[in-house]
Amino acid sequence: VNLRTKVPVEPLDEERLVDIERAVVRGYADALAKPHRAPSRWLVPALCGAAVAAVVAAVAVVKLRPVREIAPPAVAAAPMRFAATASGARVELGDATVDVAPGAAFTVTRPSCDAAWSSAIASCPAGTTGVLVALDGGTVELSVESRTGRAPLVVRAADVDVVVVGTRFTVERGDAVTVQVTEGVVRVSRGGAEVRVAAGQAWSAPVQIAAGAPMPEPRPIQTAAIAPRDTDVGELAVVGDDGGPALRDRDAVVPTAPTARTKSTRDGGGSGGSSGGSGGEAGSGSSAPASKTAELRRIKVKAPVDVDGDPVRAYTALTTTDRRRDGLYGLAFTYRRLGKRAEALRMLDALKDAKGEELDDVLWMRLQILCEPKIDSACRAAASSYVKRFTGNDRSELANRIANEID
Amino acid sequence: VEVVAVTAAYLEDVVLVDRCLSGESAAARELFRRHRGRVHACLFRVLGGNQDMDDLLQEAFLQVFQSLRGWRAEASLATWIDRVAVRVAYRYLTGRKKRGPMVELVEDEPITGAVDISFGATVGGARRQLARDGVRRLYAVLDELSPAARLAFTLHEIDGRSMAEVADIVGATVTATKLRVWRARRAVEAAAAADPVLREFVADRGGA
Repeated sequence: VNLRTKVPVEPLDEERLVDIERAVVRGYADALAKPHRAPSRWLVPALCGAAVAAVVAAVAVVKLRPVREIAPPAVAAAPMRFAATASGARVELGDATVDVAPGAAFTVTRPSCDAAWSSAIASCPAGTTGVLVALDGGTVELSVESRTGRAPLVVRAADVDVVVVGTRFTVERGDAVTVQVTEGVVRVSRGGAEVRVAAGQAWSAPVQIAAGAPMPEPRPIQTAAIAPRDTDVGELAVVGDDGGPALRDRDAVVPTAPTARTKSTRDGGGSGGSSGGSGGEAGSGSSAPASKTAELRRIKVKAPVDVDGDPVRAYTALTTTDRRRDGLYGLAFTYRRLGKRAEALRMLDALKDAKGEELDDVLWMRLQILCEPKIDSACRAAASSYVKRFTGNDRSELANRIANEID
Repeated sequence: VEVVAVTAAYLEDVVLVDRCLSGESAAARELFRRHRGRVHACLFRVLGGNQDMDDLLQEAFLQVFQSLRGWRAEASLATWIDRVAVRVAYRYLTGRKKRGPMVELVEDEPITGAVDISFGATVGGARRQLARDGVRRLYAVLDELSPAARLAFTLHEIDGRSMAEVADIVGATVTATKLRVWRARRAVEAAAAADPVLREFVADRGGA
């Protein structure tokens, strides 16, 4: 019998997946609240349940013990210490990414907001928890989503607290504590004094200081503490072998395609997600005498494409609607990761032509890009257009709050 | 604090579960997105194409959240989730035995003898047709097996897991698992001996 790979899994379409996801997220709180069942050993008892029950009953009479309460998992409360190997590591803490330089180590705890755990935190609603990254030594780089509506995140190095506003920055703890900010703003707090360190600035102070020493002011960054990982993505739109733009490393950087993939993608044979390679392959293969469109496309591919001039136009000219949507979303995502907000927004604008502007992920990304630096009118407009389209989920709740926030 | 050498993926799991347990629904969504593909594939391979798949996938994840406090971080989260999903599949199979078999919605065309490559059809088309029929007939045979044997067989032979992993997932010994796989394999081979389409599907090494 040789069956591996012979039973192809029929994919669920995006619409159904979204429905299931909604139902799961809706039912998740109730499911958590229910008492959990005993794990795994569930086939054996069916066969020998009666015998075991008899033995257990006998033992119970002799050695009566209360039923053991299932303790909450150790992970919920206990601190977790992360130590990087020689080659460094990347840790995802939900909406925060921590790049750990070789040799660095830190401990993550979720302190309760019922007790004051950082004097630098202004608002931490009682009953919730914050995130405390206590740096034992070495350098970490954090890339953190905006904390609006999220648990406060503080990086602590010795007695220095770095309060995250929604940004990308590094913290180094050696003889001195050094904070470098590449995007957004952080607040650095020490012994009651506080400074704001903005993008392009660094702040540094020795660990050992005399009491009452003045708080150092931030200064421009000289050299980056960790080379940003994303630099190896390189330029995003490059010319493929056949002259068409190819999305290099696309699979490596794009997490998920936007939430809708129409049926025609599957029927059309070219599964948009993975085939973001050369534009030249479009239309090849399927029907024997190439259609006029396919032929036309091939001619276009051969023609020199001025990618530097306008990559979006070049790209959209060469791709089908579905693939274009995936590609543009991927580009927008990557540009955002690289901090090129304007470029990312251009990609989202271009998605309008690909009939992708109404997708959940697309609207949400626009909101994120516009709202990360500051909550202004453009950000609010993005938030209200998100709320107009989607309601009843976490995102829309947050968007609603942003849209209605008073200055 | 103890320092343990662990992979980044493991740490991610630990943190993600922690966030789920602290009531962050964004974390629940992330957990679902991270594991839905594998869980769906596993359910699909165990149960075959199925009109209840949406409900089963949903049920599997709700069960995951219900039992999440029981994850001790000693097994990988993926394996643990698979175990929960397989339990859901098992319950579905035993329930279906009681309810009676489902009505097959797809019309079953009688195919006997060699596969006909008719005018206009390509060899690739015929191969796909053979694969479709083969899958349908294979799962018809699997429907006759006991749920435990079916689980062991599909997880090992179709989902490609090792005997030890299957034993761990279904909560049986490796010996018992091997026995179940062997029994199921014998049943499939017996059915293939009588059914040329199934025989060709099972023996075909070209892949679909």
